[in-house]
Amino acid sequence: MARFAMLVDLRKCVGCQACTVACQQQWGLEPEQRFTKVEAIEYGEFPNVSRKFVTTQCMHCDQPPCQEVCPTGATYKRADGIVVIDEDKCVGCQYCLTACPYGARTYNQEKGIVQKCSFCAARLATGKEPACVSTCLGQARIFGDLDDPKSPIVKAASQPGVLKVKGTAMMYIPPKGLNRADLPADATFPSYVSTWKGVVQPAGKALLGLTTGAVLLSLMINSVTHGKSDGEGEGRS
Amino acid sequence: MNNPERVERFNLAERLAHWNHAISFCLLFITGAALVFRGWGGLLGPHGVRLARDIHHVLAIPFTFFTLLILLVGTRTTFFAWLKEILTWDKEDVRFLLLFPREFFGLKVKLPEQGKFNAGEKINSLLTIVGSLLMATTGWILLYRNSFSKAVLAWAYPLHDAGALLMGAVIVGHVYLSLLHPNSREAINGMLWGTVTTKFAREHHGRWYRQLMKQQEQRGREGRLTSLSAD
Repeated sequence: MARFAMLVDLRKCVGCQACTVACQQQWGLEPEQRFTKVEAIEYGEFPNVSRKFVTTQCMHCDQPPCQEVCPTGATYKRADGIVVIDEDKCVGCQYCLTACPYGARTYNQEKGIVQKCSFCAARLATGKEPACVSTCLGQARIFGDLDDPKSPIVKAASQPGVLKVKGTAMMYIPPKGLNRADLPADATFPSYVSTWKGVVQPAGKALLGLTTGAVLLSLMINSVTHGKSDGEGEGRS
Repeated sequence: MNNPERVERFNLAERLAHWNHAISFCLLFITGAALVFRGWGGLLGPHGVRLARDIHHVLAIPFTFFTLLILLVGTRTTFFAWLKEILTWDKEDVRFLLLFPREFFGLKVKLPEQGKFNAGEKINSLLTIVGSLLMATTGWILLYRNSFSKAVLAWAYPLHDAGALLMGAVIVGHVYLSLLHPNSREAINGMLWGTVTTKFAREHHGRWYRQLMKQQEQRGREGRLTSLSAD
């Protein structure tokens, strides 16, 4: 089984935004809708100031909170690790927008659905690379299957200086001097999602079921006892 | 209200407020459940769920505003009397709650005498008030999600679901007791037509019934006095 991952060599990123635009063009996105973003980071102190770029996108988390909160099953993680959205099933509730720790999801006003990077799953199916990878002028983006020894990602991932964002399918090679904090953080599962889906909903459903059960039991007892002696039949007028 | 067989329990404004709240809550629950119960949402399909969402958002208005408005404009005195009574608790109320499960399951029991609202109805009222405030607050936050921080939204979701499921459980018991339970189902007539049988009032709300009788007597006496002085 494949295990897709992406590595961005930020030393080679010149911030040209070609990936952002290629992605928007590929998926016909609104101008404000970006599946991948390029952020400029300035660091150092005068006169030794430097400006570098950090790309962000869907991290394809190992344990995606977006999948957990999706009430229709539209968002799911495929066996090959890619987190996708079935647009026909999405109802636009935007629960996932709140749940995503990386702010990687966008809301399409026109269609009323949520959309995000899918590692260009549809392109992969036809043997092509993701649009951002094939368009990158500096060849900063490397994509592939970690389980395929011939894939370029395997060799790239074994280079020194590679930083794997834990719990995700993303890796970076940060330029010298860039703080870890300027890169996407290791994956964390939002605590409200665990409380909501793991405690509140099961407990609430159990309470609802218990009440209904008690009512049915009472109904049974009362219909038996009152069937015999209709003492409290009540004068309803 | 001259029928000696029946006594007035709820006036028109109280009943209107009750049914505005009841109907909007039930529809809000059914439409909202599409995002909590996977099977129900799946049955509705994406278009059904979107329609449910639109209905849900419209019904937020009567649920949040109309009930309170009807009570404040239509029956302010009894509204505050109700609030005062449900916040007033004594030992008899606690004893009522402890004995009520026997009554609920059809076992023989002698329940302590109650006022206009018995201890169970007081709990139902309190849960409805607290639950409705919670549902309205979290609901409007979620509706205007872009005006709130992610941290606020993150806790509005579980709170909105917790309130909905708790109130859903409460209403299952509430509907059963008012429509089907053989000893208490006379209560529905009070909420539908405004009156209950004198027998029901005496047996289920003894303290309230005695107060009513006293008031009636007093009014009768005053009536006689005014007619005397007019002579």
